[in-house]
Amino acid sequence: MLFQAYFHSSPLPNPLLKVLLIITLSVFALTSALAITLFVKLFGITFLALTRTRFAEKAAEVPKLMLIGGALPAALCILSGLFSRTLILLGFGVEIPDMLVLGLIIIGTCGLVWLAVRNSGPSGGPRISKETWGCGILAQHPTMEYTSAGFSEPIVVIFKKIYRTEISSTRVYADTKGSIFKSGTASIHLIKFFEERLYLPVACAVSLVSSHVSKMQNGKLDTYLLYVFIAVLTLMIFTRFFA
Amino acid sequence: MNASFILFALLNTGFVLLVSPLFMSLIKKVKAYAQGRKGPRLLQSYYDLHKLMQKEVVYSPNSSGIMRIAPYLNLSVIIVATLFVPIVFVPEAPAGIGNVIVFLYLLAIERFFTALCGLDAGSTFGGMGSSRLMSLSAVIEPTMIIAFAALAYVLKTVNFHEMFTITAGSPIPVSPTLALISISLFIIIIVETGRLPVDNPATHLELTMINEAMILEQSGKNLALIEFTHAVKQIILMAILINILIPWGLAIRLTFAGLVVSCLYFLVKASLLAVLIGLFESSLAKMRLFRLPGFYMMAFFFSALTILMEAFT
Repeated sequence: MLFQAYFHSSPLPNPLLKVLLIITLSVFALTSALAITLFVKLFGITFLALTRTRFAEKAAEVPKLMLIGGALPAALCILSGLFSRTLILLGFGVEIPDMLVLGLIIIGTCGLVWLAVRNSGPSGGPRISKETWGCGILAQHPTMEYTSAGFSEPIVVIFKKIYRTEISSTRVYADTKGSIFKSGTASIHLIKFFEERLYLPVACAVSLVSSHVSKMQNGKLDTYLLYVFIAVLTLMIFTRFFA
Repeated sequence: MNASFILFALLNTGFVLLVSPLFMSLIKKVKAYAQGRKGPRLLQSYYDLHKLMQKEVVYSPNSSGIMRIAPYLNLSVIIVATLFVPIVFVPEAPAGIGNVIVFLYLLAIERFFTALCGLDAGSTFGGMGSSRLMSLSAVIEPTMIIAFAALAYVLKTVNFHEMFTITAGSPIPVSPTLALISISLFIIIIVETGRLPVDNPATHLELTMINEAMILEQSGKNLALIEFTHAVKQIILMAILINILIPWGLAIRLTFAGLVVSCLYFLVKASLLAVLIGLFESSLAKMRLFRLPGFYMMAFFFSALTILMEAFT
């Protein structure tokens, strides 16, 4: 609906507003694409292929009652998506795509594709299960899989202007010529752009102003009398000259 | 849902499914000629798909249900997306069919499941392909949205069917700004179908792989379905560009003569576009992965420029 609103913004009279809308539209699209990427990462790394840690290996399914807790909002999300047109038409007169018809068409097409594929080629042949190809290494090990940090690495590199990574290392050598490595530390620090450049400056400014305000509110009666005196005086001067 | 739409669904989808592998071969043929080779026959893609359909599917023991359902789901989603892009004639579609935003999300669903497939078998290559695809799709998504928003701005509708009805009657693009959007759409075709300079569909080298890496664990019928999905996706993206830039020939009413003319014109125009894509691919080398956002920015620039021109006129 948000995208639809953006797409319909062409009759707006103010051109600058239109330009602003384009910028927000692209940022919004970026957010939705990053959300899809996040879901692939979250689902793919957590649930697919070999377990990556010892703890994950021992993971057991929670009781069914606990599953209902998560399944209920998920089902509501799907239902509100499928019946979005009906729900919207109850309150607003906005024309949006009928997702129920579309969903049914997709399910129907899926069935047809399955039938078509089933009836072609070798029917009911055994499906041989072989190991995942590992460049000649036969037994697959969890360490050969992509990790969550590895998955999002290209995004971090692409957006490095925003998420600037700071890589620092210190090395101590056993010899004077710096050829035999003794010990060292290395750290990768991710600058939290939005936190450090957007939220923290505002938070600092607010705390600075509030610290001055708290100095003024010192709890002494004579100070408050002084404030009242200054306020009355200012008001008198204002009404004398400007009112 | 009226009879005209059901007939459209059958004819349009049937036509797309029938001709889509042809253009895969045609592009390969053009690339081969450009490199001084003879190349495969034009029907080679059909033979390849037939051969794969006769083979058994081999699954990794680490893979889950995702690997089993994704090829079917992806093809279904892309077949439904063909209903959004009229090629044979423009029908009276039910609400939502033809909507640009829904179309983009259908493509996103296909990308989502392909990426999950890459991670499913647990191979390093699959993970690498998924990671690269999702990272680059995060960058191309704003460009795609802006390109289609520019189309909606110029043609004053968010429905492909209405857009094509507007453009179909004209021998030339209805607005000069559509030529600018066409550049963006061309880049989107290159990116979405994983062609050079974004990805090299002809190699299996880890330096160049994006799409090929994700389908490395696929085999037999499933691989055939994935290849077929790829071909169908390519043709519907090509059809959008063709119907916007060189719209003549598309029937806006259901007549037998109109259908035949639409199909023939489309075959000619799509062949020319396929030749252009083949030549474009042959003239460029693979770009470095992290230089690609700059290439996408070109498409973004042309679309944003169109919207700016429309906004200030």
